Amino acid sequence: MARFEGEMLGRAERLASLYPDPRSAIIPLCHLAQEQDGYVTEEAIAHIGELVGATGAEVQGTASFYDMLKFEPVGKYVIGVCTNISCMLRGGYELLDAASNTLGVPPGETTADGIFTLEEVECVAHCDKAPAVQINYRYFGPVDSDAFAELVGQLKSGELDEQVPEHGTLIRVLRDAPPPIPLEEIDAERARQDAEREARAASREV
Amino acid sequence: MPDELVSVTLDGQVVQVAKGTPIIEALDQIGVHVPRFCYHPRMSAVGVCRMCLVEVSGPRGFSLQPSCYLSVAEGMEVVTTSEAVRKAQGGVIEFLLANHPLDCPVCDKGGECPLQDQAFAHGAGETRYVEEKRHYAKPIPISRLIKLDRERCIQCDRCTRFADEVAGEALLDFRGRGNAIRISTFSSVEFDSYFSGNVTQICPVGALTATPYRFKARPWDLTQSASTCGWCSFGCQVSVQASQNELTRVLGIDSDAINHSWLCDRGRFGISEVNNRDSRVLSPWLREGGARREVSWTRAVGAIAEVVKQAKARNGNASVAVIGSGRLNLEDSYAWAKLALDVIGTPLVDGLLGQGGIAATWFERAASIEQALSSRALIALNVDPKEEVPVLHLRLREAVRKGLHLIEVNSTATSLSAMAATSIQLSPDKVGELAEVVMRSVPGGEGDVVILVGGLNRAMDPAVTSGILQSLVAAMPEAKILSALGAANVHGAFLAGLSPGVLPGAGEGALPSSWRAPADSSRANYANILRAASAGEVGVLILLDCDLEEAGVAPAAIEALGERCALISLASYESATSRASAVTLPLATWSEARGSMVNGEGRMLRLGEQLEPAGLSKPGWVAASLVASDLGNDMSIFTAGDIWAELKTWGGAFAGVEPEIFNSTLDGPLLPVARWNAGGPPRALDPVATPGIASVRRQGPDFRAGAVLDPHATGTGSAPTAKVLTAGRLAAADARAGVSVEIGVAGEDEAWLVLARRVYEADARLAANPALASFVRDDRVMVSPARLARLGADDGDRVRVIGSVEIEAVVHSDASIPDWAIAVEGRTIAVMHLVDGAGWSRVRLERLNG
Repeated sequence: MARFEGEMLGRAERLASLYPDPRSAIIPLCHLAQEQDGYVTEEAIAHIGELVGATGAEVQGTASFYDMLKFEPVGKYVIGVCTNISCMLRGGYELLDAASNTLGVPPGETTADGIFTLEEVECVAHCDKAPAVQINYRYFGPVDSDAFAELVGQLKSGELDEQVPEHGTLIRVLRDAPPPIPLEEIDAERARQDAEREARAASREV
Repeated sequence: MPDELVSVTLDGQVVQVAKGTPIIEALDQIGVHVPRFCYHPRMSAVGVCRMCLVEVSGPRGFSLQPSCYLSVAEGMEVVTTSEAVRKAQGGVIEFLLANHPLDCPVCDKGGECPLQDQAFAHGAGETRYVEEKRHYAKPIPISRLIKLDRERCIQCDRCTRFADEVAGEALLDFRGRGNAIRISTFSSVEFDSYFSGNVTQICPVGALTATPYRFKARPWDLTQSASTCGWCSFGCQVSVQASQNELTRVLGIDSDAINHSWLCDRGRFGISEVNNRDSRVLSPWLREGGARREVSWTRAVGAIAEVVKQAKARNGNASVAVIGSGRLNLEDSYAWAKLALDVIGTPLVDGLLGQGGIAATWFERAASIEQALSSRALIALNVDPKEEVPVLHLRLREAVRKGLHLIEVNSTATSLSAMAATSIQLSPDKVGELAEVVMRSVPGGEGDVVILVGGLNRAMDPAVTSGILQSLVAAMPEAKILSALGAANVHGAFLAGLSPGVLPGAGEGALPSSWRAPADSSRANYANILRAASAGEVGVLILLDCDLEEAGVAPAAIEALGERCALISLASYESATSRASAVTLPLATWSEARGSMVNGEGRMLRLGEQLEPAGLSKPGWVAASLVASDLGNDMSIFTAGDIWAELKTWGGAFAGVEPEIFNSTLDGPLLPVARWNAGGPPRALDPVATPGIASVRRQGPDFRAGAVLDPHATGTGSAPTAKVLTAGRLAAADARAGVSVEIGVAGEDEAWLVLARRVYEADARLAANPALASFVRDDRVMVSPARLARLGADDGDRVRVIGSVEIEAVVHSDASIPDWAIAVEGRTIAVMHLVDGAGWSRVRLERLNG
């Protein structure tokens, strides 16, 4: 499983057709690939290139700009511990150490069971709840070492499944994109109104 | 439309500049050099390196702006020398050097590096950084020809822009972000492009280096001369650089008229075969009693004169035939034409391998490259520029982007198909009505139309192309022609008179007293000569750097030919032909002899000399002169200058051409000179655009200095007295006589062969090239899905292709191949023997069991 197939291929093709230039769909398609495999595989990059008419190098170049797109396998839960100023003052580094001890891996690595990946992150705009932790981009805070251990326990036991989906899932409710803006109709309507106004103005002058 | 001028103040100087000119170019014009990295005159501006910051006046006073990205505007003031500019440029250099390794002593770019030079000129001289620099694994090969040192990269976007914008093959792109950004290919996809070498030429640091050049030389040890690439007939202007009598590299010169500084890899890395002495013919060889022996020039030339005399005595002049090739330079072609037509007196001469008819039509109405690319419609007939004249592909891409209307006439899909407004299929049953169909697709009348003609499908006799070309010209008498015919100097061979029925200059030339008018030119045609030779009607067959195997004759047939007649070959590389020859003379190859050539637009171009001829090889004209003396007529050719003086007397294309003409222009003159608009003084080359040229020039003689430039040694200069004998216009009409579109009939189970030319074909030269030999791929047969089904084969099965020879290859189904065709992607030499010479070759397929 790496290229898009079946239902995923349908979603991918729909995404690519949403934009006037299919290349605009590169980032959404990378998220789709991440939803499918947990990270963006090389096969997926090649397939995205085919879908949008770009080379693999271009897709990779675009996608690799973004931190939220992973190109190597990560855990089911990607845990980011913030160490920017607010969190640092409130013990962010201590929390990172504790998290590292709890999970048994240094920041940047994934646990042997493939469930957790620990990351040190820059400000996640959750300063009022410092020190903050984000798990698959869902926020928790303030978190101390005990609270962190508890969070890990809850994730393992599945208590947080409702709140935190697996890594790669950005949204769980699929909605159709709104219909394209009927620019031609709008232009025609504007032209009609303009003509009307001009006609009125002309009749007034007479 | 004349450019609208605006008035700007550049460093206090008020100047008029064309509206829309980037500030950096306006500054270049007045001689103010702004440091730059990402700016390249042949690519769009991106303004990413920030090195060219200058102060520009605006509504809120002066501000720092990238001068490559901002265009001049009326009343604009630009300051390049202020403290603010100095500080900004110094700051940019400091940032660029923050992560740049200090490995200049072992870096190939050291000595010609824009970063090194500009760091000296604008940098602080001392670093304030104590931090650890970035480290990457290095070097990593991004293709078989290019290696990447990511630590050295300054992210100027030149290579990536080239790949995407110029070559249209975005196989190289940035990856990552911020401090971790680097150039990268994708996964295991090689940077496999015919144009990959250009990225090493434009890299402003040592990040991208060409594998064959790595650690070969330092720029200050190199000598260079301006020359012309000798691979195809496009005539890319190059700087040939050598060290210790070995070619080290070739760089493209930014020629406005021709290559815009780009080269293809076949041309750029062709030096590897010149350097490969093992496959060169290094001394004269003579076959005596069945064994080939090395002999002296005197011995070999004597033997040639002897067999020629004997053959002439036995069966008359026409028992000697000469087959030339576009690989000889203009001087060689002329000397051999004179030897054959005047001294030996044979009418059997063909230096164009049957393409004489096309060339004759071409020269009457030759278009320049510029005219073709700015025409209202360009009709591409039997040509795939990417495979035949690769750099034209780059120019075409740019022209199509700017709105060129392209009409393609080819048998199968090519690199043009994606760019063409209309694609018309060139099929054997529609040849008659083709001109009409093409005419209908030309929008709005026939004026300002250019036809680009090539020799893409090897299985189609050039006579067929010639016939179609003539019907097109008959339908559109105003149309001009740009030629993409094969081998570098075929057009020069034509103009030198090494073509059936053509006088030197291809004009109304006055015939010098001794020159016998080539009679009975219809027999003189490559195919006819070969037929006569195999029938035993030719006693001596002289082959001028022409490998018959490559031209489509199977090795066994060459050997048989060698038994029928005396094969004399003049060759630079060992090949099936040279090995089968009775006498082989070693020929000085590209960049071993000065001279000139003529490209497909009829432009005369210089060929520089950088090496001593390998072994005992000599220039072709010297060989002709030696043979002539042994035949008792020295032809009055003792120096290249003599040839030059003589060519001028022929008039026609050569009227008014003086060797000095090369000194006043970077691009050579269009022939005839009346057609040529020399324009102003040669444009100054941007030293940072192609760093390797400027730096070598700084240490050696200037390009424009006659010493390096003038291809012609001053000769005795005495022109032979030209007595007007016949003023007849022998040339064009005669050469075309009897050409009709005869393509034959395909049998029941046969199909028409489409054998497209490729950049990398397995000829003797490519085989001798260690850098490029691996690019020859296996043969493949492509057929329509319907034909595959009828054959009962599956995609990927092996099949036998039966024509004049048989080959076995893997078959693939391809919906773009018409049902009447069998396309063979021929890369190995055996495939070329499927072509049977006349008309349009037919083949049939057989499925192999198991």
